[in-house]
Amino acid sequence: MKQKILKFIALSVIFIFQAVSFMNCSGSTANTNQTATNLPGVTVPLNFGSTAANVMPVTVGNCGVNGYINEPCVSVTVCQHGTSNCTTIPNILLDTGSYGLRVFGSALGTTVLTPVTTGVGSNPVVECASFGSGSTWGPVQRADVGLGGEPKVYVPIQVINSAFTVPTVMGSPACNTLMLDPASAGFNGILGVGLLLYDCGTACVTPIVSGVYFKCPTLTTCVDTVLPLTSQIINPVAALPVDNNGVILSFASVSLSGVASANGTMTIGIGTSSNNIPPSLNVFAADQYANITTVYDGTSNTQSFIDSGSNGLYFPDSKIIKCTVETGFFCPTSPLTLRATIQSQTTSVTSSVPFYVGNTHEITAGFTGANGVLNNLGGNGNLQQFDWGFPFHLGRTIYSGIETKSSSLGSGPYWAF
Amino acid sequence: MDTYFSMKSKHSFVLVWLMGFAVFCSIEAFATLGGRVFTPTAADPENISQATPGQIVQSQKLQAQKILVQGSSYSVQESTLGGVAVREYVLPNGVVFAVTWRGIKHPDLSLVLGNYHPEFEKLKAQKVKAIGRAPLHINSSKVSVKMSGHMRDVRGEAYDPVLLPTNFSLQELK
Repeated sequence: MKQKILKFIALSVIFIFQAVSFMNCSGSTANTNQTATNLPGVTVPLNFGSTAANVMPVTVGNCGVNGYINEPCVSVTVCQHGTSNCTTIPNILLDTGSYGLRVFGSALGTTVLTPVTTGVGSNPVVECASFGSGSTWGPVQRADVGLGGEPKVYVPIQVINSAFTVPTVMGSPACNTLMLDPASAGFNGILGVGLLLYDCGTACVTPIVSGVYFKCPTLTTCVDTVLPLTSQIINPVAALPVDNNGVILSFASVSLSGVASANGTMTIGIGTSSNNIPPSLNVFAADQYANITTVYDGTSNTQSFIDSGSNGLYFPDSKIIKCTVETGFFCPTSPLTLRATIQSQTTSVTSSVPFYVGNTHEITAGFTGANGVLNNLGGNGNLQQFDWGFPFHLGRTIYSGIETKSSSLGSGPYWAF
Repeated sequence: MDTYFSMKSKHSFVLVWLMGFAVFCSIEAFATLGGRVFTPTAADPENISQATPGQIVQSQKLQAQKILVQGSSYSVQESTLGGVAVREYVLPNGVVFAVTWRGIKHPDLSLVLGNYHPEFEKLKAQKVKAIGRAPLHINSSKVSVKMSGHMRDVRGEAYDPVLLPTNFSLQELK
């Protein structure tokens, strides 16, 4: 009996750092016991501390007074074209789920940009850019954009403001669920460096869609317009002279209990410099929407995506208990270790990855807690979509290849890790 | 000599008017959540009487509807609204109990949500800002709305929990 007790104590000591795993994980068919050995392996981000021109430091968990959990942010320099009239804007959300730079007008200071115009009247172009849970509204203007120490590129960006009135179509506003200001959005802007070149693309040239780009003869008379690719907002990485085929995001693992803040890197270019040569990796080809497939709990979610700008892991699972307060988030009675298989959209490459889901109400302290970095924040998503948000990046170095560009990893659009 | 299309025949005029209206509306009618679908056919012009004024939206931006599901407890029809694919889930009595969408942008929500839009706006305003960039979930006893996705491929769904057919699974909202 005494031996049994000693053995129990010894085991308890061995697993003291895995205490979480002793909790009952019933409630989902896909879970297993949670052990720290499953955490992804990166301990020092790629090119961490480097001052190379193509490396940008990324901070997580402390992006200004209104920052939120799992928000990776960078600083971007925006200049009036051809001048030294520049503003370096901090707390810009680093977003691999979108394309192009957008900044709140209030963050630009005295830097004056060049309006993009269209048509015989040279009318200013204004955009309604749509994200998963909201939209940005404001004029399209050209600026010299500086990413890290890269040469500045003169590209169209969106200035988010309400200078132009959102038009109504059949009595309804043509742009809604707007991000209105840095305080409510939690950032000064969004740097979209994902797999696609433009924020609309050929659909706005033909046009197949409406309600994205508008031309505005006056401040209050905006109407739908087509817009050539040369005037559309472009992923600024794709406009760089050399390091233009993609980016590499790298973050160290954090413990399952979370940390207050973390640092990572974005290295620009893939195989274009001595500091961004990829090792042998699994390459997941994406489709025209930048989507890949995720098989989870027996279901193939064909519209899945990796997105540094989503702050959690969002996927359809009707079995995990939902939070009563934090609507849409998961609140399992005990922490879950789950597993899913990420698949290339066009090739046979697959990878099985573990991930974690904690009780959102507890790990975020009702979204008032001190931990700004959590690898187990998750919630319910729409069917067919597995949103591999920021927690997926912790402990990983993820390569994202831009469409029409190629590297030793292949032709974009692709993800590789 | 009277022709078939003669204005002298009141009944013929009404029939032609209905047929023309049927063709026009079958490609351009769209109903909001909780409203009635308005797709009269020449064979069943009575459908017109089911329409509720103000709940029918017609737009040049709307393109052809197609029926995706024709079941006994509900049907699904898809319209293209400004390049966004919008699916209406319709009860046998013509009432739309759910709407889903996928496209480059979210559709005009006041149009899609109709009378539920003020409730949506009210609940959205109450959301905690500190949550950050996550899918938007709005739930009440009156309406449930979910918005998610990423640039150039956003998704959404909305339904009235009271109107869901018996034994309807939310997994059927695609």
